[in-house]
Amino acid sequence: MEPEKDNQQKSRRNFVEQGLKFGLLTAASGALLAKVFGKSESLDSEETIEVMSTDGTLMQVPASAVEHAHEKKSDYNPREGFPNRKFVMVVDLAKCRNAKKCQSSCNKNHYITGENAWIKIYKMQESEKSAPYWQPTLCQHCDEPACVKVCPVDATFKRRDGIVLIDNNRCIGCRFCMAACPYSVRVFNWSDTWQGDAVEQTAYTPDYAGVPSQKGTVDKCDFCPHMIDKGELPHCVSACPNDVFSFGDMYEDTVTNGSGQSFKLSKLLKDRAGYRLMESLGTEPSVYYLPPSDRIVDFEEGLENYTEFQSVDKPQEP
Amino acid sequence: MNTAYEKMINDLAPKQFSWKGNIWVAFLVLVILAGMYSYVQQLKSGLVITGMRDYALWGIYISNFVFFVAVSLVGSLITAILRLSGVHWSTPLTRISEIIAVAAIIMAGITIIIDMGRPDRMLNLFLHGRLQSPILWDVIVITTYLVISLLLLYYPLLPDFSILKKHPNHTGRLDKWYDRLSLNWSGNEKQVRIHAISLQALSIMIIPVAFAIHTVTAWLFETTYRPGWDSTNFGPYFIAGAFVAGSGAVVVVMFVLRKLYNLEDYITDDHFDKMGKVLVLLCLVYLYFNINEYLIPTYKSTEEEAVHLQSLFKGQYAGLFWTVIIGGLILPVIILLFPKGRKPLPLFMVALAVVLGAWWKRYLIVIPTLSHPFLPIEGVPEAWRHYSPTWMEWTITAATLASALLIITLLVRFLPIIPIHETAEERGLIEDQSINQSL
Amino acid sequence: MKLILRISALMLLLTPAFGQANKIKARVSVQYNKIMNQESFIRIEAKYKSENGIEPATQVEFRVYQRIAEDSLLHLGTIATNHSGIAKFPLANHKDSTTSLSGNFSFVVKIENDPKFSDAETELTISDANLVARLETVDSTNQITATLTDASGQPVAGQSLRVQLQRMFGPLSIGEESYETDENGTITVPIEEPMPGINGVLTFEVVLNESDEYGTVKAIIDAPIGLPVGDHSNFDKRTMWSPPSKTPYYLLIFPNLIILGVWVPILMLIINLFRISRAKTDL
Repeated sequence: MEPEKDNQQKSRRNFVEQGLKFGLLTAASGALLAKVFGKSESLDSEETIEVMSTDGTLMQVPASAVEHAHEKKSDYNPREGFPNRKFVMVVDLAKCRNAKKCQSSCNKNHYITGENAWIKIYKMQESEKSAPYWQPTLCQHCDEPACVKVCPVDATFKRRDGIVLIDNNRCIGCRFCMAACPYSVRVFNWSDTWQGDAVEQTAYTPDYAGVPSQKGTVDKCDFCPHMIDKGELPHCVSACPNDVFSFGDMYEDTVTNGSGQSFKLSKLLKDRAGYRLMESLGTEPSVYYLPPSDRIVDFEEGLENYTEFQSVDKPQEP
Repeated sequence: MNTAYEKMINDLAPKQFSWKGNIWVAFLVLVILAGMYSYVQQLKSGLVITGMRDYALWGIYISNFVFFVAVSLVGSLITAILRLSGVHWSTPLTRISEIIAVAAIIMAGITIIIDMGRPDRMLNLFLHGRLQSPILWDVIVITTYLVISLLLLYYPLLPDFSILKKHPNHTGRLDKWYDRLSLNWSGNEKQVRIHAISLQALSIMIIPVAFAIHTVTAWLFETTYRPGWDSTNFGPYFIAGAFVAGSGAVVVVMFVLRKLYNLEDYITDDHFDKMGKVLVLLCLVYLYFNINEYLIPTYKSTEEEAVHLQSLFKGQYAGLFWTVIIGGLILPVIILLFPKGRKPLPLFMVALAVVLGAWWKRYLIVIPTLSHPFLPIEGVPEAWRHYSPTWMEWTITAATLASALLIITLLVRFLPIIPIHETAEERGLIEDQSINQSL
Repeated sequence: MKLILRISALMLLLTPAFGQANKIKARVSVQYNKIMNQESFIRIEAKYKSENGIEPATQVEFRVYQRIAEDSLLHLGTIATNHSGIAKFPLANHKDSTTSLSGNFSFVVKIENDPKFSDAETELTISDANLVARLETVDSTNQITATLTDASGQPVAGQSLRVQLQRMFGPLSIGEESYETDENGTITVPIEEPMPGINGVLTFEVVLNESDEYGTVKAIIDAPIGLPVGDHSNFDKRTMWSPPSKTPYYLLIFPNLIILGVWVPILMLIINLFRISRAKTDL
C-alpha cells in the first residue's frame, strides 16, 4: 500500500513540475512574441514631428502645426455606429474620366503606404461590343457581407448604420475575409510601415481605418466615419472633380455629391437606372452605380491617367 | 515458454537507431532549423517575406495545411474503418497509420498558425470566436480529431507497453516509461473489458470526426464565391482525396520500415497486394470526384469557371495539372490494376508518386483560383499577378514536412511499429487475454 | 553721400512695401448671413492660388469693423479662418435677443499684417430684411408660403428665393430652382413628394441667397409632415454576419450538442484510462 501511495505522490509531483515548466515556457514565449510584435517606441520628438506630405515623403514639421484632425467629436459606440442612419454611396459612371483624385485623396488621408489602394478605378468592358468605362471600386459595405460571415474572431463587423469596419487590434491575419470578398477590395498589411510620427502616435480606433495601420492585419475603405462625424462627406466624394460620387443616408432618401448638390436617392436610382455590382451573389451592397450612358466625357480621356500597375504614389526619391 | 511469442517480441520491440537513423534525424533537424530561422524572420518582418500578396492571399502554407489534414484521415481509415469491418490483415498496419495520422494532424495545427498574420492574437479565437465562421469549426474539429487520434494511438499501446517493460533489450530509462505508460496493464478481465469497449467506441467515433475534419476544411474554400472553389462537390471530393493521400503515405512508410527493420514476417507481400487494392479502389473513387469537379463545369463554361478551367487545362497551370492527374492518379490506377504492380517495390514507387501528386494537387486547388478574381487585377505591381513562393516560404514548408517525418521517426523509435499484443493474439500465440507473467 | 542717404531712406520707407511684395494675395469673399429667429453672422471665405490650384487660406486673421460714420470704424472683433479657409463671425444671437441690427449698415473686413497674405480690405453694405415662412395645408396638400419684407416692413417683390430640405450632408432642393416673390413679397411652394424625416419632422429652409442688398437671409420651418424613419437594419437580428452575442440559435444549439456528444465520450475514454490503471491486478 505504501509504495503505491508513494508512486502516486511522485507522479503528482512530477505532473506539477511538468506543468510549471510548461507554463513558464509558454509565458516566456508569449512575452517574446509580444516583444517581437510590439511596435518599436518612436523617438521623442521635442519640437518637430514627422509627418507625411501629400506626395508621401516624410518631413519634419513643428509639432504645434500638426492638427489632429481626427479627434472624435461625438460619443458613439464605434461598433454600433451613428443612430438612425444607413449610409449609401452612388457612383456615376457616366461622369468618371479616371482623374484618380478620389484615389489620391483616400491614400493621403488614410496614410496608405502599401502598394494597393483602397479605391481603385478599373478599366471595364462587359463584352467585346459593349462600351468600355471607368469603374471606381471600393468596399461595398454589403448588407449581407461575406467577409463578416467568415471572420473567426469578430474583427470585422457590420454596424447598424450599414458601415462595415475592421478592428485591427483584434484581427489575427487569417485573410479569410479577403478570400471571401468577391469585389477584391480588402488589402493586407504584409509588413510594418512607417507613417510618420503624427500617425504612429495616434490612438487607433476602428472608425478611422489605417491610422495607424498594423502589420499582419487587413484594411479597407471605411466610408470615412471620422468625416461623417464632422458632418462632412468621405474624402473620395469631396475630392472628385467631376462629381462622380454622391453619399448620404438612405433613410433620409438623400445623397450629396462633392459640390454639395443633393439628390433624392430613390428618384436618382429610378431615373438613371442605378444598379449594384454582382447583384446575383446576394451580398446586398450599399454602393449603387449609375450606368455609363450619355457620357459626360469620353472614355478615352481617362487612358492618359491609366496606371495598370500602380495605385499608390510612392514618395519621391531624394 | 513460448518461443514463437518471444521471437515476435524480439522482432517488434523498438530498437536503437543505427547510424542510418541518426543521420536521418540529423537531416530532419537541419531542415527544421532552416525553417525556424525563416519563421523568426517572418515574425519580425511580417508575411512580406513570403511570395503571397493581396491577390495570391493564400499560398503553399494553406495548401500544405490541407495536405496534412488529408493525410491525417488515414488513421480513421485503416485503424477504424477496416477494424470495424472485421478486417484482420490490416492489423499490423494500424500502428503505422495511427502514427502518421497523429503526426499529420499535429503539423496541420502548427502549419495553420504559421500562416496567421498575427499569431500573437491566437487567444482571440477563444475569447471572441464566432460560431458562424468555418475557421472556428475547423479549430474545433481539428482539436477533437487530435485528441481522438492520440487516444486511438495510445489505447492499443497499453498491452504493448506492458510487454515491453519486461523486455530485456533496452536501457533502464525506457523501462520506466513503458511501465508508467502501460498504466498497470496486466490484462485482467476488468481491464480487458474497459479496453475493448473503449477501443470500439473510439473506432466508431473517429469516423464521423474524420469526415467532419476534412469536410470542414473543404468548406474553407466552398463558402466563398470564387470559381474553382464554389463547388458543391468539395466536401466528398476532399475526403476521397484524403483517403488516397493517406493510403499512399502508409504504403511509403510501411515499405521503408519493413526494409529497415526486417519486418518481412509481419508486413508480407500479401499486405502490399491488399494495400495496393485499397489504394486503387480509393484512386478510382477520387477519379470519379475529379471528373465531377472538372469535366462538368467545362460543359457549362460559365465565364468565370471557363477562365479558371482554361488555366488548368491549357494555360498557366497546365503542366502541373496534367502531371498531377496523370502521374498522381491515372497511371497509379493503371499500374495497380495489375498484380505485378502491387508487388512491394512497384507499389512503393506508385505510392510515392501518389503522395507527391497529392501535395501538388492541393497547390492546384488553392492557388489558381486566386489568380482570377471577379474584378480585373489592376493598380498593383505586375509581380502580384503570379504567385511564386520565396525560398523562406519553402524552407518553412519543408520544415513542417520534416517535423511530421521527425514525429513519425521518433514515434517509430520508441513505439512498437507493429502492435505486438494484437498480432500475437491473431496468430494464436497467446491463449487467453492475460500475459504469462512468469516471462 | 546724399544720394546714398536718400536711397537708404527710400528703401526704409519702401520696406513695408517690399514686405508686402513677398506676400500672397488672398481672394476674400464676405457674405452677411441672417437666420431668422436664430442668429446673424458674417461668413468670410479666403482662398489663394497656388501651384496646386486654388486652395483654402487657413489660419488667416481677419479684423471685423462696423462703419459708424464716414471715417470711423468700430472694431467688432477678430476671427481666424479654419482648415477650410472659412470664418464665421457672429453678429447677433436672436434667441438671446442681443443687439440685432436693423436698417442699413456697413461692415469692413480687413487682413492686417498677416505673415503669409498681403493686407486686404473688403466692405460690405447691407440692408436688413426679414423672411417669414409658414407651413400650410390647403386641400390636403402641404405647401410652404414665405414672405420677404425689408427693414421698414414693406414687402420686397422680385427676389429669387430657394426652398430646400435640411439633410445630413447638405440641403436637398425642393420644387423649382427658384421662386420669385410676387407684389406681396410672397412665394408659395407646394410640397408634393413625401420625404422621410427623423421623428417625422422635416426641417425646411427658405433662402434668399447672396442678394446684393440683403445678404443671405434664411427662414427655417420644422414641419411635422415627414415619413417616420425606422431602423431597418438587421443589426439586432441573429444572422450569419452578427457578432458572437447574436449567433443564430441553430448554430448555438446543434454544433454545441455535437461537440458535447463527442467530447463527453472523449472525457469518459480518458477517465477509462485511469480506470484501467486502477484496475490492476494486485501481486
